[in-house]
Amino acid sequence: MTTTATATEPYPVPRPTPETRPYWDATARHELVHHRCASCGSGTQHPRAICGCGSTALSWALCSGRGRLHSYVIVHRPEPVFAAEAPFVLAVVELDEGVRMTTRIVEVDPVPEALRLDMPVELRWLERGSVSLPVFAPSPEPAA
Amino acid sequence: MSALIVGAAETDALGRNPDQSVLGLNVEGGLRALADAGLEPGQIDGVAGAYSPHGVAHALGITPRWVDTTNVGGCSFLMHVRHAAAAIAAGHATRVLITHGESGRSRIGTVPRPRDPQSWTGQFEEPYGAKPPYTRFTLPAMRYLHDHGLDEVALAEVVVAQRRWSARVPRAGRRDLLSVEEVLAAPSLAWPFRVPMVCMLTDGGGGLVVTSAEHAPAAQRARAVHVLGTGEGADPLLVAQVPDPAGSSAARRAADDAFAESGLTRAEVDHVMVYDAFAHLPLIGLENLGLAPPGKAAELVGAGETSPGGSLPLNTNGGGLAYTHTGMYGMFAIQEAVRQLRHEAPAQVPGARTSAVLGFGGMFTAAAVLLLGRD
Ligand SMILES: [Zn+2]
Repeated sequence: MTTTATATEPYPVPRPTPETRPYWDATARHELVHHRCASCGSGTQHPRAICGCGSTALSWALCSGRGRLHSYVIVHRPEPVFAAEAPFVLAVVELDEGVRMTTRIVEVDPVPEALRLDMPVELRWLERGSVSLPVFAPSPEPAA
Repeated sequence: MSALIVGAAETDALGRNPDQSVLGLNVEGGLRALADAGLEPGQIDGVAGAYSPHGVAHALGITPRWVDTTNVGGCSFLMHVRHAAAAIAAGHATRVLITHGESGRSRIGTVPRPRDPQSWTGQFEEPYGAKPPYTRFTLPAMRYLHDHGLDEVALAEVVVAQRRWSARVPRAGRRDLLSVEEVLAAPSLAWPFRVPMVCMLTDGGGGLVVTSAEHAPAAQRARAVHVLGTGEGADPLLVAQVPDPAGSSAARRAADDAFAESGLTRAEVDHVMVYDAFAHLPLIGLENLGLAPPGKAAELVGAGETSPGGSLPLNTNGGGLAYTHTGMYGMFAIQEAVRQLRHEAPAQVPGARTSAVLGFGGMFTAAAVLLLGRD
């Protein structure tokens, strides 16, 4: 035995692969990017080699940072490492670019009454060690 | 499809089996399925499983010439049946043993699953606190409810309906009848999911023997269950990216393929098993099987149509919510369908001749369907 168990597990932080390095390099600059197809215009959060339309014309593109609350759960019993943060809102946000991603909703009471589906949200950053995670906060309704 | 299921059995004990390892549970499930089929290990030439089918084969003295280790999570065993049927039709095997065993509760001999911060989920889900299945598999549920004008009561009614079945099943782990109010008063794990809306966590296992009529033991032909149609599908690995979050495109493709292969119509289905790690899945499952219009499954459940005596008996062992759930429940959904078709089920559906089994896996990113029947 060369190691001893630590009392508390560290937060899980993403470790980039060569394919995802541009995404995480962008987050370090507080920029949210997505992988976008020049042929059909569809995008995904994680990179793809070939788009579903067959095109290989894929590249990273900046997101506006605006989106809508697509779905969520309010986590009351998380993994122990997240216990101090519970309850928290784990969500799927659909960005204006049409990309859906798992994230958190912050700056909001973690109760259903405060979490209307399709409500507008905007980008925030959650610092986890050396990594910045994109999260979202409710934003004012755009003027009709 | 001309494949037959001629052996089907679960481990003797379900729930808490601290004296059995994962391998031991697979071995017991396999031995009991062989005994049910009236076959010896030496008569098996193909093995499949999500754990270690070659390890299980060695433990049972089987020398396979066909091996399938497909693991897409809980619906893997439905795919094993499909792949076995194809292998038998191709002449690659004559009799296939499929086993499952998991020490979900006692964690004896389990394969460790350390964090992998380089995986898709390790990069894009776990840093947010999305790791327990009730924080990932469940993410699309609110969208489904919202889009169809439903709320958490629809989830509670699924629990209520399935407890009406499990109350009649002596081996079921949760047998108390519950009211909607009682379900909604239970503690939340990940709102809107309360404890009774989330599957059990158990130890257990089971096995199946798949063969052709030509290689079926004569004594088994009368009780053999026919594999009438099969389908499978997979979506993106991240649940946020599944193309149809309020439904399941993978399940729909699997169902359409299975019905096309079987020649059955939806109206000919007597009995249904839908993988229910969580209470929204029976609703989404019925709709993607084509057994309820989109958004209308909750009405069927609320009206008692999926309960005992209803027109669409669903999850008649109590399901993963109330019967057992080792981690990969698909094996138990198939087992209950086989029991119903053999007319050996504790909560028997009178005269059941066809069963539709839908499995989900990979945190709602994979699906498989079996249509089973008996003459
Ligand atoms: Zn494209």
